[in-house]
Amino acid sequence: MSQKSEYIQTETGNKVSRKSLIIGSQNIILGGKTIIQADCCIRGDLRRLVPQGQNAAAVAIAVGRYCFLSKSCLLRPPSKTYRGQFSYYPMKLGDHVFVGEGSVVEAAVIGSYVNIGKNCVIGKFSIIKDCVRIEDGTVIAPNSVIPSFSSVEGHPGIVVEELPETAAEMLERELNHQ
Amino acid sequence: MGPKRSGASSASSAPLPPLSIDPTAVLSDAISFSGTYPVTIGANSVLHPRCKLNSTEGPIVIGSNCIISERTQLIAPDIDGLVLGNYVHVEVNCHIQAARIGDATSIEVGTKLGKGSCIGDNCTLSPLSTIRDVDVLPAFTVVYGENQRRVDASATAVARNETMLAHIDCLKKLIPNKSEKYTR
Amino acid sequence: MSSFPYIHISCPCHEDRPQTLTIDSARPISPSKSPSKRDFNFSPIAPNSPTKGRSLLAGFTPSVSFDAGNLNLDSDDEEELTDEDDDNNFDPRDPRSAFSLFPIENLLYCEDCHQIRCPRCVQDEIVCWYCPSCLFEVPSSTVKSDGNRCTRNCYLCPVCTALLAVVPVHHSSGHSSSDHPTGPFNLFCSHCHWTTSDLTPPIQLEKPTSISAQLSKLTHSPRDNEFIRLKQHYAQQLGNAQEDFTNSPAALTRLMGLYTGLGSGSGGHGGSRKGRGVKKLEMKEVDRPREVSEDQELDIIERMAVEGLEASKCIVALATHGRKKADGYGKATTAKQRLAQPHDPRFLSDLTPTAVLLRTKRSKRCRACRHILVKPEAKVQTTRFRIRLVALNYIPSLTIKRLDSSITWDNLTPHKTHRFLLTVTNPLFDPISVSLLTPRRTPGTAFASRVTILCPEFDVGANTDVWDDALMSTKPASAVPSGVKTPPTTGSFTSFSKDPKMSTVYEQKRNYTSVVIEVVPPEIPDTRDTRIRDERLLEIPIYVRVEFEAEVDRDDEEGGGGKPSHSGASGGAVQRERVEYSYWCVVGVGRVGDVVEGVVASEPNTPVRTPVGTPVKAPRTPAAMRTPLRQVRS
Repeated sequence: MSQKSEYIQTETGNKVSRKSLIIGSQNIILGGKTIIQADCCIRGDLRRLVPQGQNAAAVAIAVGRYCFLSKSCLLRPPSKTYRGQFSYYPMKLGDHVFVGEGSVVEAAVIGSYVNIGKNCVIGKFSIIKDCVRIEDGTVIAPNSVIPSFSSVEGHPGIVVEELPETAAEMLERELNHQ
Repeated sequence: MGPKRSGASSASSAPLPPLSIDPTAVLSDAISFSGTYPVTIGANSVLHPRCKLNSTEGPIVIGSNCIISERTQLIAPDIDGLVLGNYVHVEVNCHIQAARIGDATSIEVGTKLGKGSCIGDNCTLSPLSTIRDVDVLPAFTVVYGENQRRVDASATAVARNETMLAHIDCLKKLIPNKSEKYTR
Repeated sequence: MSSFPYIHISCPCHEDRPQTLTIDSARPISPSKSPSKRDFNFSPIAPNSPTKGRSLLAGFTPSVSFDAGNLNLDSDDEEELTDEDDDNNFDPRDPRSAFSLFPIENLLYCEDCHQIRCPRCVQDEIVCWYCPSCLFEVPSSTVKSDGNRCTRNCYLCPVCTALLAVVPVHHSSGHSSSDHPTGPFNLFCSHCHWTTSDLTPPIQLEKPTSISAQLSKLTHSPRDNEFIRLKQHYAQQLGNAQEDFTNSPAALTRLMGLYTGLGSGSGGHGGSRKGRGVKKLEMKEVDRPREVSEDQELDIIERMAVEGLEASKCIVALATHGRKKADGYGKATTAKQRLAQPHDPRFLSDLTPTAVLLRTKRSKRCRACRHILVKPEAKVQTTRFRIRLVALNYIPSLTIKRLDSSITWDNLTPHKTHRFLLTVTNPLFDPISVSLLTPRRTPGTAFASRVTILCPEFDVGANTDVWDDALMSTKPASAVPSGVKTPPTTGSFTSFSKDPKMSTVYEQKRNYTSVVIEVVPPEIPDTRDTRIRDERLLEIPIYVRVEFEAEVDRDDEEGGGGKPSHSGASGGAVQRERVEYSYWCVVGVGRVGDVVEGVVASEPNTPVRTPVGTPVKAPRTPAAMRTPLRQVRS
């Protein structure tokens, strides 16, 4: 699946494709054993500006362990105006997150064991809890909250199904099959 | 002005079309220009990396205070070219072949604008929407859901434009300006 | 339908069949037992026999009595039905079977009953209520009084059902940090840009918190008043005793008394109650039903016409491009939007934001033995479970994949032998022995496919840790099924005596075994009938029987089986008990496509030398040569 020559392997076991576009990599944290495929784009440069002017430990994107970012997906921190100030906010992904091909993720928080389908759009500042499956082609409106154990579909995305208790294992299996 | 190939920046090795980039505009890395017609980028606009501006058929004009996000394709549909108004926000993965996009319009993630379509002012196109060729969207339209339309009466235009300015401000601090690469 | 291939397991709760049943031509089934599948199932039908009548009958016969004489059954069926219950083929096309089929991830397992439990046969109990958008827990007393919607600030856009955000109406320009937004507020939808100012009259909120209180004051309709009045009336009628109508027959009788006029004879006793007996004249109906006036309707029609005109003036361009509704209806609500609102609005300008419905965390209980199967943690934020007895951890899971990757699931070639790999994975810590039985021809349809499992009986190793592998002498036998036999020896498990001429498994690893299954689909004509009944769908029922030896110390700690047969010595702290259980599952393989040139029907050309006359299932009667499942009688 991952040819050695195309992927760079880091010390923590992350496999990053050489053809991916990772900007601002010093602001990105990868948990470990994460795979990033070709043409993937991670905007670590869009980070919150610390008023002191130092970009000390300003993490833009934190990705958990065993994640899988498919081809052509895009991770971008969300931004908004709060109290007159416009800034970018950090984005956090949990463990075992699978992002499908071509999906654009601008969520604020994504929990663990989340499967995002192909060509999805996750709106700004959405919060996705654990054990969620997002079907292909879903658009999730900004500021929405997806509770655990749901399956989301549609445009805008609404919860259509409640996943059974075995959701964590099944989602992990789907991830491993990729 | 003959287009000159700059350093190792853009992916294409073809000669760049004639560009007139406002000095206050911010262009990031890896933007690809192709075609022969002139491309104009207005004041205070920001272009994220990996944009593709294709002016083979006609000129492209980008207004002031625009934000063009990454992996968008702006293709001029015909000789009249593509004109973006001011305060236009184009999000990621868009594929634009429209003839005209009005002021203060938000084009969200993944939209496809067909050839020659005309988008009015203050419109909002929600993610993954598709506008067919030669379609005309009147002003203040919102395209949402399964390609449904409605009139936007939320009166948030002023607030939105101000947010745009603040956004551009913020981006200017974050993205290094590489526009020299493209203009010789 | 899920995409191919899928494997659905049939929960045994739909069967309630006695173990033995002798067939009398007109004996009705005892009323305590519901008509079971065997009453409706017939043996696989030969293509020439009057199939349509029978298979139609299979699904739709409502009668309870099983009349053997009527249906031209031959002795074959009779013998089949007198055999034990697993001889009856599970017909996946039967309309009833659709209700008992579940993928394995939805099934639970009761350790006490040693049975699979499906979502239909478990009882749900609510652990806690919470709002899915603010994730705050709502105590159940609040739910009872305030209803099952969020009473904080969570509202959904009535137009597109996205979440609404609070924004100030008048934008205060200029940066002022530590800004507390003042002024009236709106609810704003970030997806479709709907605001509460779009209503007639426009609604504006004074402060950004406690939205529901403000909204309820502003959107009080006469319908709400009516509802409150009704609720108060009935609450008063019920009196102090808060009865649950479903559980108390006395309360039910009282309620039905409304309609049957119980106690209508005696007058003037309203309000007096004799203990908990029948109330006389107690349950009064409220008053006359609400009338719909004609004027109201005319009003609406007029409004539609007028608004339609206005709509057409300002959104001219939208008319030209294929909209589903004509212009005049542009401002009318869709059915979905209307249903979500309490007051049935006809126009978009009447839509109010809807509060978010609450969600629950439920614990599931086995109906038979009242044992809790699933118990989530009470905290909303965690996704862990206190108790979680899922079938994934107890019964072997089957997966199927194709051996030849040129096979397309949606377009199987008729008359061609398709080979698939069926993998059985064992979740238990003991090695198991699995038998897979399937009828030779898929039941329930006139166009039956031929199915052969090349190695129907095999062992699957235990789900041990990886390093224990080195301690066990496992020979992975990845032989091509061409008759070469290599018996796998896993630990101290006594394998079943396998017929040496039978073929072997395809692959055997630590805790899973794969066997080859061959399917030859028939040619299916494309008529209206076949399309309606979806004859092209190829589903194979497989009967899985699992046997293993478990250690039983004191209680049922180790996974048990269906009918434990004590073959070991009883007594002593650790005894090995031979356990077996079985279930039906349906493998959805795909759809049969059209005939391809050059591929014609032929005898199954499996290279395996299965001895002639060996039944597909393990023989039960001494007459081993005869399979009740076969068409031809010998």
